Amino acid sequence: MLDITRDDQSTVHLKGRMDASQADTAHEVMDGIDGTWTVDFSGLEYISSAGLKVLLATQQRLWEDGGELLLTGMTPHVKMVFELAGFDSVFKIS
Amino acid sequence: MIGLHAAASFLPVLLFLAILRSVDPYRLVSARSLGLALLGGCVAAVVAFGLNGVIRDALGLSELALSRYAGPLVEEFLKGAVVAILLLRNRAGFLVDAAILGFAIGAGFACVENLYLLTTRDLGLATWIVRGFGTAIMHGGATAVFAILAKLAEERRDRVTLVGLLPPLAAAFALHSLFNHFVLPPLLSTAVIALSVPLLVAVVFSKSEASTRDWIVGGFDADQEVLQLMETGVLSDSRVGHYLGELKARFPGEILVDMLCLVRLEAELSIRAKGILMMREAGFDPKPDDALKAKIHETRYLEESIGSVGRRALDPFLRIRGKEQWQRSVLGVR
Repeated sequence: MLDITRDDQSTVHLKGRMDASQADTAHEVMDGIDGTWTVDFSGLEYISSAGLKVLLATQQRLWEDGGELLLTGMTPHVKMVFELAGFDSVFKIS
Repeated sequence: MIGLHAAASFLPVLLFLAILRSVDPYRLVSARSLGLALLGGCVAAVVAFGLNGVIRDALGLSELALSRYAGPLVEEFLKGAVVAILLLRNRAGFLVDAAILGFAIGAGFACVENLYLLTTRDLGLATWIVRGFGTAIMHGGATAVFAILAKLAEERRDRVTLVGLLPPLAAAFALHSLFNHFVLPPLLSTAVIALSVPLLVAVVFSKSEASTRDWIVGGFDADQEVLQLMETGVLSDSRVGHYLGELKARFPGEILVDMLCLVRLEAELSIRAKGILMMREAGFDPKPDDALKAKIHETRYLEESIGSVGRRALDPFLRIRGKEQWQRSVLGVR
């Protein structure tokens, strides 16, 4: 189950598992953001390729308008997967 | 006028090739592979030119028999040989890139053929339209059909075999020979080819795109899982861990360590390759990473250290051939 919420500090909070079954929910939330947003991974246990695709598509859309997603609070494993996949060339990770 | 004739003879097939490559969201065919395929097609055309002449003289064939039967067989055989070489060298991972490479080989062939005719014959514009939109697209289409069927045969048999290449050759020959029979008026034949080849390619693209997506998604998540198992130290409790445990009795300790390193490294490289494809699909243009060269060199060292028996032992969950071998080309490092 994925709990995905937005706050008024332009931050998206992810909690639980961001997999194929939750990709549509994530898409709906991410489609509603514009400009630069921070995505807080600290509550995220697992992210699959379906979740990563949502983030990539959102980043591409935001880039076109001069915005971006900033990723924070990743577990060491998730951060390692991002780096191995080369996604650190597309996202700023802190 | 020569400029118009040249444009009519070269542009349609090259433009079609460029469109084919650009509509592939994963950009599976590198510029280098495309260049090699075009060059291969050019070489096949030169060889075919000589061979057709030898066969015609040796068998006393008429021009009609040569153009309807012997020529198509020789030409499709030679273009198919180039496809087979590219498949053996793991240049095509899916039907989409096989189709693009096949079409490129046919395009290279057609360009050389048209260049020869442009420089030796004085033909009218209608003929160049037929040759550019009909014959050239037919050459590309026939070889694309060969490549698609050969790739399917390779996937079924798990390797490229001579027997597996015979039905693709028969199909490409039938298409080429039928076109050369000119059952329909030339301009109508040209229209049929110019419409049917893109339709065929569109069907293949839509089917293959789904399988490419499934492979990326399934593979990425499986590789990530392997890494997580290794990270958390619970690999020994997994199916992979049990299997590696069974190998303890058959291989020395240092080889087993190399096996584990290879499993991890292959998972890392596989994640990068699929990550690149996912980024391309999303519209990004990831640059080649020179740091990957060290990892590729390390996998080669480990593969040598483990040896062929060790690699075969790892086959049930680490198949370093086919798509897994091909995906290294996505990394931009071989």
